[in-house]
Amino acid sequence: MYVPCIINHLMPDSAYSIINIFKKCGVDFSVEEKQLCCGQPGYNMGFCEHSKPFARKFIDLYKNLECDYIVVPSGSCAAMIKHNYPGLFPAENLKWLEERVVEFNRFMYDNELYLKLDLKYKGAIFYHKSCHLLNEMQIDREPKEMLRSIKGLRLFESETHQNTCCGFGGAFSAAFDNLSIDIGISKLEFVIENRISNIVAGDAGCIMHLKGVAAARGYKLNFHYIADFLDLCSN
Amino acid sequence: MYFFRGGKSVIDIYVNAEKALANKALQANLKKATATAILKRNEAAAISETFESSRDAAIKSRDLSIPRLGELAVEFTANAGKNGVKTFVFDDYESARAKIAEIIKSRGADFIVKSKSMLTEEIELNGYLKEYGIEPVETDLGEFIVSIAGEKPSHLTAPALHKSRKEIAKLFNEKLGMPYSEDVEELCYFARRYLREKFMSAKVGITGANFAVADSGLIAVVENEANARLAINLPKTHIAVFGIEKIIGKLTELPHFLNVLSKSATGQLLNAYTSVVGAPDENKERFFIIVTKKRFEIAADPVFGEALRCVRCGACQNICPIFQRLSGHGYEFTYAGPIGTVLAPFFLGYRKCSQLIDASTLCGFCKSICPMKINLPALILEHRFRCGADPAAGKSLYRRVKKIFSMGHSLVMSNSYLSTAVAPLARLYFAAARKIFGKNYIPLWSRFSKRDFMGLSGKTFMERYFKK
Amino acid sequence: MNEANIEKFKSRFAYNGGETAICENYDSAAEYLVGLAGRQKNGEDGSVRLGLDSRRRVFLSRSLGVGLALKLKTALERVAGLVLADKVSDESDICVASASGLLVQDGALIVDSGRVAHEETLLGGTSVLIAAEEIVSYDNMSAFFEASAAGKSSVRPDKAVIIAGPSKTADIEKQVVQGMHGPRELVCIVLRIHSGEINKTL
Repeated sequence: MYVPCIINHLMPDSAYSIINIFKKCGVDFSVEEKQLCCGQPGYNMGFCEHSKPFARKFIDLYKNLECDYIVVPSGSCAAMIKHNYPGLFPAENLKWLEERVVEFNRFMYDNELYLKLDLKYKGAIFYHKSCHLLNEMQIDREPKEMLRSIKGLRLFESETHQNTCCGFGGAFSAAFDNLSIDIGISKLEFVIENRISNIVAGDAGCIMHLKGVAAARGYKLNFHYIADFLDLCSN
Repeated sequence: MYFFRGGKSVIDIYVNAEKALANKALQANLKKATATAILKRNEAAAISETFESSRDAAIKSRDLSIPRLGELAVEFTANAGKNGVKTFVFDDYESARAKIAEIIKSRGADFIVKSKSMLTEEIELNGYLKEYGIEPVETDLGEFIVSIAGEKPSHLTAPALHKSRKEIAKLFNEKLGMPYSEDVEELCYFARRYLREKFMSAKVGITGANFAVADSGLIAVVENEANARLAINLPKTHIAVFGIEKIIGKLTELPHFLNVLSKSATGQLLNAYTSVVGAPDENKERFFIIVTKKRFEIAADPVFGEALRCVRCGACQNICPIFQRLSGHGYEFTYAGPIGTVLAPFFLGYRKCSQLIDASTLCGFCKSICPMKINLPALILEHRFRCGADPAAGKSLYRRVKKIFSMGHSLVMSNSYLSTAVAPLARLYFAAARKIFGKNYIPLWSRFSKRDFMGLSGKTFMERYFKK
Repeated sequence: MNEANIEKFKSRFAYNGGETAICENYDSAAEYLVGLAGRQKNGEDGSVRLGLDSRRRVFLSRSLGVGLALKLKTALERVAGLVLADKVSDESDICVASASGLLVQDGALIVDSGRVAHEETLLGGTSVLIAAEEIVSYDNMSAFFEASAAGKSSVRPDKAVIIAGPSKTADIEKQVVQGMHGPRELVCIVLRIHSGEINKTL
């Protein structure tokens, strides 16, 4: 189990949600104490060189680790590791990354682990398809099917408002705070107009940003990272 | 970003965004129009039996033609010649404009009717013709509106997307003497009558071309208003101006392009009118003007070659959250939106585009919706890599600050000792910030309190899990 | 053309903004044209026709062929207040011309500009295209271009104008307005004359 920085620093409870889920599903897991950031911030800012040390350390740390999967609970980090690491070290054979690194949603869905959790919820939610999860990792059906399997849950779907970015975009959110915040507001206003108070998102970065926008505007909304939500529904 | 102004040498996206966001009418128009366009596109794509297969066929066709554009242009010119059409190929804008002006002048025309063509925007034909005493009359309604307002188009297929009916009513009233009316139908029919006279007496018509076919020397022009058909067929002389990247190999490949373009651009199964144009009618003449500027450089680039697959449908603009707010004008370049961000650095250089290429969340919806499956976010990212290596662009304060951030992140977070020190330091900072500002304030992020930060107060997961 | 194809064409053509009428004999086609002339608004809002009397003007293109044109003419002449124009112009309420091909999935018609002058599908209020019984139908545009590449189509691709709807614009606030520079309405009359009927009229 890999822990992304935002979860580690800002949402440590989400990591425990994943651990709870793993325990309930009987997944034998470990966390590497020496793990670091995946290096995506520098890469997306346009400095590949700055992301190389992260990639190097990730590769060295996990290469010989005995495990079937390296579960990465973030579309962003998973895309960085699976799609961009091989390009940083073209001389190395990094096929094992493609085979073993798996995003949390896909791991839960493909192995049908979510069926082992007796999922129940009362009420409606808006699922924010986090962009990197959706467009980079092509993970759309997985969270949707998992959420649909929750008894009593009303999943609010919208062709236009689900298929849009939340406006976070890493360094973008600081460099173009005006655009970033406005994109977030559009999303939240839509959710509020539809009288939904719970938002589930596929990536922690989106939550960090949306939560910040909602707090500043005084919106009363609850945000759940998808693992938190699955954990909540299985109690 | 608020603290690092780019100055005049840079396309200042931040400032342009501030202006655009402050214009509430513009924001409402843009968001509504782009959302409608996407829904229509999705609906039409879902109805079609052949949309996906045409997409693949069109991509295959382009990937074959992009590396051999030079050859194809020769083949096209020869075949167009057999049809009695004279073709001229120019690399620079000046020669292309001069040739067009020369043709018009020698036909004794003091005005021309023109249908929509992004290439004529790119080469700034209208301004040039005016200097020559030739009045260019835009006949596409959107272009017509934009031209009488003295502006430039803001979208590939909907040039006046940024204008509200109120603004247009005022414009028609003031500039054309139309009785003030906000009725969209009345505005359209007024423009129709006004332009009808021009069509009927024009000696020269200028259009673009959506595609040019090498093996038969034909061009295809698609449209909905019928103004291109009028401009092609009524005047005695027709000139089509287009970029060399529009050339495809075979006529049998053309329908795939038409199929994907109509759905992606306007959400129609097919555009109202598709004209396949070759030999001129009796007593008429036709010219093709091809511009190659920068196209060969892009085509030869191992990464950016695929950008020339673009069919200019505007779908990436419609779906882009940045475009939906910034509007086409905010990009300060002929081509706006994600595809514009990819093309701009080739034409304007990295220094000028250093902010532009950063103004993307890399959300990737453009890549999914692009009918030609151009990996737009990857190309934007590639520009960021190259911009970092560009000596002129690297000197700006903005780039330097960015580099320091990135380097700092790299040095600290990739070090197992230093990275463990981040959390305690951050806790100290946030404790202080809460005392001073009453919240988890971060200067760049919080934007004068328009966005809060979750802050970190408790221990990190790693600290808790490994019980430090 | 089979029933299923006609139905599909009809719905796709409607999606693109066109209207389809299926007529079993020439009289019903003529009747349909008369109905069209009565309902369309050309001139009333001053969009095209100015300063003319209220009589409806119908133009029949030469592309219809002598036989069909004559039959339509005979049927139309019985209608009072209707003028058969001898040339096409913006004063025409309806321009009737012939289509050479039909694209089922695309909901579009192929017009041969070698036979039909551009003005005949561009000017006037309503453009009517007749898909005669013997019209060739293609699944889609690719099928048409493949056929013409193989020399199996009657229309040369460089003379083809593919028409899939009335002239329209959505340039002002995305509101669709028909009749921007060309006809406000596009109608396809599919003639399905039964063999008995053909014998009778011959």
